[in-house]
Amino acid sequence: MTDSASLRRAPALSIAGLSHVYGAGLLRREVLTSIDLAIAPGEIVILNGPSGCGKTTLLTIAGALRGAQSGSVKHGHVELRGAGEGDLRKARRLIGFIFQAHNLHNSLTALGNVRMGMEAHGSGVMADWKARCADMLARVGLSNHMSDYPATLSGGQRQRVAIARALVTAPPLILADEATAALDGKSGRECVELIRNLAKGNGSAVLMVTHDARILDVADRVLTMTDGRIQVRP
Amino acid sequence: MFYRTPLGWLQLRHRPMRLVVAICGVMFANLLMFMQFGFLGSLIQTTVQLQSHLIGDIVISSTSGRQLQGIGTVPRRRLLQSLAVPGVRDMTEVYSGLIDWINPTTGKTANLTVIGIDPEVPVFLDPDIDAQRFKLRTLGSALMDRRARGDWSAVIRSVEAGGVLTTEISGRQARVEGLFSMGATFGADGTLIVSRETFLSFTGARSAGAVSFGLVRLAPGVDPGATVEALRTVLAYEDTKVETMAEFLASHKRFLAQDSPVSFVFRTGAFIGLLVGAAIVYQILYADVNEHMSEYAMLKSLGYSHGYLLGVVCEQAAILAVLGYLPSLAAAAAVYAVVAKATALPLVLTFDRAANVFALTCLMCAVSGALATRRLRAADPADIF
Repeated sequence: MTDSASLRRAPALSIAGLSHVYGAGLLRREVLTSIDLAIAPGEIVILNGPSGCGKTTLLTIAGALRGAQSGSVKHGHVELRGAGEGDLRKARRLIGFIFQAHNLHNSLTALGNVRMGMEAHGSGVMADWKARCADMLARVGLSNHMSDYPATLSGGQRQRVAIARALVTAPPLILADEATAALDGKSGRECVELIRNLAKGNGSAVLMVTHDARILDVADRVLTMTDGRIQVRP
Repeated sequence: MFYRTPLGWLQLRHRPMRLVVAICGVMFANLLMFMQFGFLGSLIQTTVQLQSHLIGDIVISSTSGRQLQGIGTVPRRRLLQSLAVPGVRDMTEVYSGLIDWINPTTGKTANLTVIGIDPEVPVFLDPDIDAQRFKLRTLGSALMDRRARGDWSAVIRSVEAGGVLTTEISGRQARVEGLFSMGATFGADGTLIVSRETFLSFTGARSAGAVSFGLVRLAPGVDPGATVEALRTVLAYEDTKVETMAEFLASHKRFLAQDSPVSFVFRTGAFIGLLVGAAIVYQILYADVNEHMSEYAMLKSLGYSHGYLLGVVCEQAAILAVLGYLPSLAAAAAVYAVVAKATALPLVLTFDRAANVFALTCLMCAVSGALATRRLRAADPADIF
């Protein structure tokens, strides 16, 4: 896939002139400065950089978990800046989040957890939920663990359940934050490849924040962030 | 078909021990409420137990009387004045008091309500009592309450065998010649019905002129309200009151339910049960919310609303209410039966009481749930990255 072909459609995520400030007065600290970033459907972007450079803040704003203070943040054609809580919530339903901690619900089975990813979209999508959730778990290699509770799964398996939950609705945008940090090298690699393959299959855009140098090769683009600014690699 | 994942229930079920503790807490609180309300209901019911068996349209009694025990006295000549009021067909004097009687079976002293009536006039609605009132014509004859508190089998057996039990009451010879069913109250172990003459001989200090209350019976078709007014004009004394039978019963009940300290004691007991239950439910729900903080934040990041999470906590509160209530209902029925047998008090699990306790249980769980949801505000999806 070439960038020019995919960019003809609206980018899955487009950020322009985004700055973000924490605190006020003497405590005022600018964590993001004039960020411009566009990710095309199906494109996989890795964002790396030192701790505290603003990666996570950028991810939470892109993920509609935090309001944008300035500039523009768009999902497709939908502007998030100035959106109310209800609109932010709707926007979140079109995003697949994958966190460092898997955050699975420990009272629900693997299947039940994936189902929660669908249920957020309301009853309209639930007609064949069981088949879709089971299929999603099969695609992450957990057909034999559908009825297992998170406590009985390994770290890698849990993260794969989390991936299945994030991707079961085929969201146009996937945001992953240090998704491999808690995993060993092999499981981490497997998880990232899963994310890449599933995202490419669905045409989802992926923004992945990571410290893990071993997985940079899965990305179409690698961006480095320092002191709140993105530096495009030469 | 779509149904919502019963997340609240699944979370509760995931911690079976905690769930059991929560259910026991609700059950304990409910049982406490059932017992306190049961005793209070029984108290209110028994306070007019005897009075509600009386035949009469209007009651004339002392203004100082607020319940059967300590009803006070009315001068007999005032009662007789009522006979001159148009519409009054007749009036009969009733004497009421308490006597000690040594139970021949157990040798223990029992405290009985003794009622002195005119054996020539029907006074009790109960056909069983009415059929036996002629037995009271002889001085010293008495009818005994077979449902009195304690073991009265010796008395009951010898009377049922067709005999007469001769015994001694207050130093006078007495003969129990018949039985009827009334039941104990909080203040008395049972009831003894005698003639007015026997009453006065048992309770030596009372004079025939000091009547406990008068039962006025009206001629057919006479309006009790108008007659009460007429009687009040005739008997306009500070120490005498005229009430319809319904008012008489209601004022006795009202005194117990509102003004007496016992009622306050039982209500306080029920309230404490409610507080204990609320504290336990709050503790359980708060712990559950706290434990699922990161999952809740995750759910918000999936696009679930704050209202959805409130719904989960409400669901849990409702589950605890129902799961705690049902066993407490069964337990209350069992404990009522045991207590009723031991105390000879009417302790019945009425629909109203069951509904009231359920309503209070729901209120208790709702308040606890609402307090526990305050913690939910801390579930911020932006914090989980």
